[in-house]
Parts: sequence; C-alpha cells; structure tokens
Amino acid sequence: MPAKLRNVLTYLVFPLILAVAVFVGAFFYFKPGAGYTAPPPPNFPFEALTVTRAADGPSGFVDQPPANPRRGIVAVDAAHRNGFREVELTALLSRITNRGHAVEFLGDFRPASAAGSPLGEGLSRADGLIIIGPRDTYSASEIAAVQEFVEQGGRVLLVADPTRSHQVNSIAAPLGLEFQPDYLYSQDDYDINFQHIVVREFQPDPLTVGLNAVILYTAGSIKTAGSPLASPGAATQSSLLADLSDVAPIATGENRNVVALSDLTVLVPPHNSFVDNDQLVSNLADFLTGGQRQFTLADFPYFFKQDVEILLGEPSLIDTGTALKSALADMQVPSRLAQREDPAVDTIFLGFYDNAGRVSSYLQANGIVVNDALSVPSAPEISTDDSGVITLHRSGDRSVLVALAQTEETLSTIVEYLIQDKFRDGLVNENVGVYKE
Amino acid sequence: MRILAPIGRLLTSPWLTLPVLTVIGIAAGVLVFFNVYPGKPQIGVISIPFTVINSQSTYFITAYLDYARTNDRIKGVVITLSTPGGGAASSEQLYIETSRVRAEKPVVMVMGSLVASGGYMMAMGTSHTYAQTSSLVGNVGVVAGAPPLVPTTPPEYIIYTGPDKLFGSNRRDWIGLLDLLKQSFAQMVITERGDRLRLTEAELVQGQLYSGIQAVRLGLADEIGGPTDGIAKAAEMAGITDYELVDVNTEVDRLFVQKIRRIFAESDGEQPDLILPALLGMSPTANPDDLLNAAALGQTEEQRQFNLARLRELMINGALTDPEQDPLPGFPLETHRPQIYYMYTGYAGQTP
Repeated sequence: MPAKLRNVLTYLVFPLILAVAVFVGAFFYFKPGAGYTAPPPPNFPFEALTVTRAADGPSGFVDQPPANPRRGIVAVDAAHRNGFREVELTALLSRITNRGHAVEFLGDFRPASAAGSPLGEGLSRADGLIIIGPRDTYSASEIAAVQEFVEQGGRVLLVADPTRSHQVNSIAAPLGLEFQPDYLYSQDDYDINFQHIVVREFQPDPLTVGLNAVILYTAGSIKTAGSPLASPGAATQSSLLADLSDVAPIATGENRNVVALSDLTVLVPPHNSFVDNDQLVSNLADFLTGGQRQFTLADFPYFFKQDVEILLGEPSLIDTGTALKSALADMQVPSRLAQREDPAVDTIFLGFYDNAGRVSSYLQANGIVVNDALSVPSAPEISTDDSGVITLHRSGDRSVLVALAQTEETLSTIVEYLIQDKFRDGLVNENVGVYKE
Repeated sequence: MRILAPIGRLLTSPWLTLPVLTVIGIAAGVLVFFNVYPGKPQIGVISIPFTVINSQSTYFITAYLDYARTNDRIKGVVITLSTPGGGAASSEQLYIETSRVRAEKPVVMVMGSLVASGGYMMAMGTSHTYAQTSSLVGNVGVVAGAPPLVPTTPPEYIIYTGPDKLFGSNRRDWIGLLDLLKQSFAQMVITERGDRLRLTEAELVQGQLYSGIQAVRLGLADEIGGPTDGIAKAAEMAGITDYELVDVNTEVDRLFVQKIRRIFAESDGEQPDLILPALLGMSPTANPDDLLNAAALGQTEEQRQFNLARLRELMINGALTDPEQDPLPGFPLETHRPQIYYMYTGYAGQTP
C-alpha cells in the first residue's frame, strides 16, 4: 500500500468510526424498520353540506276573512305575568280584528292587583279568550269564571311554550288539558333545527282545515281528555316521554271550545309564514271569533254582534234614544234610530207600557206580562207606576233588547242605568231586569 | 536520538495509530451521539388540566403544540386533556394545530375527566386516543346565542346599511348557520374516526356524553388507558425504544418566564404604580403580550411575585378566573351575543 494512501486511510478512520458509532448508537433508541408514517390529510366533505330545511321560504298565504264579519271581543289574558310580548302576536291579533272582533288585553302583564283579577269582568264581554304562558297561577274564582265562559260557548286558546316558564296547567287542568314539561324534536324531519319539528298528521276538525304540514318551533306535548288535533309523527321524539301515542302538540280540551297549542313561536312573524303555519293561524282566528257564546242581559251591550237599530215607541222618546245611541257609540257599538223593525237586525226597543203590544213576542218569550201590574218570572207583581222593565231576547245571532216604563222619566232613568253599568242591581234572572223609582 | 527514533516509528506505525484512533473515534462518537447529535429521543408531554377553550388558553396550548412540533428531539407527543370545550374558532384552531403536529410525529391524547365538544374536536387531530373508564367523552354539537324572535327596530338616530347589519343575520339564517356547523363537526368526526366509529351521524349529533368505556365501544376513542399507556403508545408509534420524557408545559413556561425576566431587567422601576391596576383591570380578551408588558411594571418584589403568579395561572389555566366556576360567563343569560361555542355547558337552569 503506498504510504500516501495509507496516511489518507489512517486519517479517515476517525470520522468513519464516528459515523459508525452514531449509526450503531441509533439502534439503542430506534427500532429498526419502525417509524412514524403520518396519515394523509383528511378530506372533509364540507362543500356538500346543506342546511336541512322543510321550507324554502314564505308560503305566500293570503288570509281570507269572512265577507260579513261578526262583531265581538277576543280578550287576551295579561293579568298573570304572561310570558309574551304583544308584538309577537301581530299575525294572530290582526286576523282577529279582520274578522270584526276587537282585541282587549285584560291586565298589564304584572301580577293581579289586590283589587282583584280583571279576568271575570273582562270575560263578560268577550267571545274568545287567549291565554299565553301565564307565570302566575289562577285563583279558584278565575278558574270558575273561565269554566263558565267555556260552558256559555266562549272560545279559549291556551298557548304555552317549553322555552318560557309558565303555570298554564293551573288553568289548563280544570279544562281537561295538561301541558307536559318536555319538548318535542326530530333528527330526521325538521326545519333547520332539531326542535323545529314538522307536523304532518292532523285529525279532521275546522281547526285543521287546509293543513298539510305545520312547523312547530319549540313544541311540547299535551295530554288531553278531549281530542288531539295533530299527531307528532313517527320521526318525532320527546325529551322526556318514551311514548307519544297519547299526547299531541295541538289538542282540544274536554269541551271543544278549548284548544291548546304547545308552541308560541309558530304564531310569531315570520315563523307563521312557512308551510301551512299561516293557515293554522287563520284557523285559530276563525275559532276564536266563531263561537256561539250565550250572552245574558248582564253582558250588555256585548251581546250585540252587528249594528243596532233603535226603535222608539213614541216620538217623544227621541232624546232618550239619541242619548243611548251616543253611549253605544262610546262602547264601540254602532247604532242608528229606525222607524220599523228589521227582524234580521239587532234591535233596541224603547217605549212605554202602552207600547208593549209591539214587542209582545219578546215579552212573552221571557214570561213578562204587562197589564195593570208588571208580572215577571221569579218576582212578585209590582205596580206599573214609576216602574220599568228591561228584557233581552236572543234568537240565533240576533239580540233584541226591550226597555219599557210607565213614564218618560222612568225610561230615561233605566237607560241611564244601562249606560252607567248600574242595571245589574235590578236583574231578576238572566234576561229580565225590573226597576222602580 | 537513537532511542527516540524507534519511538517515533512506533507512534507513526499503523499498528498503533489505528487502534488508538479507533478507540478515540468510538469514544467521540458515543460522546457526540449521547450529548450533541441527535440526542436521546424524547416524548413530549403536554398537560392541559381542566381548561375552557378560549382565545387565551388556545394561545398557550398552541405554544405547547408548536414547541412539540418544532423540537426535533421530540419524536412523539402525549396530550393529557380535560375540558368542556369552548369557543368554536378556538376549538377549531386547536384541532388544526394538533393536526399539524400529527403530520410530523405521532400525537396521543389521554382523556381526563371530561373531553367534550370542542375538546373532542381537538382530539380528532391526534393519532390515537385513550379514555379512562370514567371519562366523559363526546357532546358533539354547537351552542350559541341567537337573535330575538322579534328583533326591535333601532331608534331613528341609529343608521345602518343593511337588514342584517345589526344582528349579523336573521334568526332563521343564524340557526341554519349553526346547523351547518353541527354537520361539519359531525363530518369531521366521521372522517377522522373512519371505520372505527360505530355511531350514525344522527346519533353523533345527539350531543350525548359517553363514558370512556362507551366511547371506546362506540369508536369515539381508541382504548382505555392513562398517561403511561399514552407515552408507551407514542413511543411505539414513533418507533423508539429508549427515550426520555419532556414536560412541554415547563419548557414553554420557562421560555415565557425568561421573557418576563428580560422585560423586568429592561424596565425595572419604570411606572411601577401601573402594574396592579393593569393586571387586575385587564380584559379577559387582552393580548398576552400586553399582559407580559404590564407585568414588567411591578414596583416591589411582592408585586412582581404576585404578577408572576398571576401570569403562571394564566399560562396553566388560560384564564385568570376559575374556569370551573365560570366556564362560560354570561351564558345563557346573554344569549343575544353572536358567539358560537363547541361546549358542554352542563346547563340545567330554569327557563327564563
């Protein structure tokens, strides 16, 4: 070996040995043949994702109120710290007014005052009642008033929403309904969010006419002694209940004048505008304004459902007649003086006992006899001197109020009693009042 | 000289120089290998105790992950995690950062008592997951505030230029946006878990929390195990047989403390009265760099120690408030805020 080459090899030994030592040393730490292989970057199908929608946009529904709406009042309970804002009911309330009914809020959304609940007095003039998410319970007298209202044909809509605390069962239970503390959802058939369930099964009823699909946004379950109006469907589940066969998100009470809805949001714009929600809102408005409530004389003047004609027994009663006309106008009841009776129109007859023959059929219907004395059911005969009588006769939708007295002064006093809401002291039964100066 | 000549020949003889140089070479090689290059491989351990994922905690966790990724001696990473999740963007950032580490070295997650929602999303960026039998795992989904049912129209002295300018979206589109986020979260899990997952998408987005045993059975986690198992798995995946552990938190913490010390040294005595108000009054969303600068303004040694303790708390917990007591400030009362969370809220309050 040449010396030069030998010297080169000699000096290569150090780095060579160094490299070999490092290589061999690695075997102390690294497993031969093993090593980390990074996984390929994941490929997420994000672009294929779409929002799950049951409705692409508003349905374009156009409400069609009846051509000849009946006058009436739908009361809205606001005396139990009810959990809603007036603006949320815009759609429903506007359809109620389109059907000729006024909307009257009972209370101011605060707890009922010590003076008492406005519910009982408010119901005396109402045809329908809306109760939404009350946070206070109802007293025994309030429950009795609502039950009587329903028995008389008044319509009641109960709404409670699982997302807002409520004590609705304190009034729902006496009406045969029980809102469950759950919420309904679906992972398969929903609109945007799993709680926005799509209801597609409805039982035949005026309230479900025209409904094929309704989206309920925060619905819960209702147990009823009456009839379910909508079924949750197989794809719907409850947050609490395993069996949904005996519950429904919309149901009637034991009395079909009561309807319960377990979702407020469906009424709130724009949520009312999707699929058939608007049809449901209109159906609810029809329901609330379509009752045949049996009014009594005590409910004056709210039994008048149309413009009133005032007939005078004598021309001399013109002042009394115009005073009553003016007062009715203040009570939102339009009226006019008329010469002849129109049997299709609500009527008030003001006259003397001598004019009793013109309204004899109405008097007889209520058992009133006017001769030398005034005879009415459930009361002793009284002299016709300085006395007067009021009676209400209802036939179908028509109401006829008759007020008779011996003198113009007495008649004027009776009319004042009516105007000033003092007439109830003289009521001897539901349809007759007797007054004596 | 005659005596020295044979010694010289002996020294230059290959019979002597070769063995000597060989011994020196081996010694130097061992010395270099064990001390200079590449060093004993390491498994980096990142400890994330119960932490709400927000911008602050994400800042530090990202620093931990970045350290583990860029340190060549660290051949595998173990993350011990306990979190209810948190902000959506922060959670996704942690997933992305974890995935970046996974692209270079194995990442094993050891789930603690709770790895929910955004925390589980972070777990999707790892190579392997261990759950403990009592771990609570899953909760895939989104929670967020929303515009009110009926938004109020602002007064006439506020002008805005589009119908969605004020709320950012109408309620319906906003809820639709959340539905998309829910789906994308689910797809992330489905894609990352692949054949291991034994839940349908509908079951997944139910948002359920599962025990560790259930999670493994359903393919949400890989195995039952603890930190030791995680370290062994990381080493196995990295293909290393002998290694040392490195506490990544401490290493990053050390870097922060060094930075603080440098700042103290540079600004000692300057505006000392500002330090406490600056720290106590700082916003939860303050930039950590600002906090460090504020810490430099300590007046006394006690203040500095206090500030350092606060900063260390920030480094460890990601927040100066106790996250377990106040995991989601304001939720669900202030639900009108346009904030999106991948988070298990444990909400069991009364409806408003």
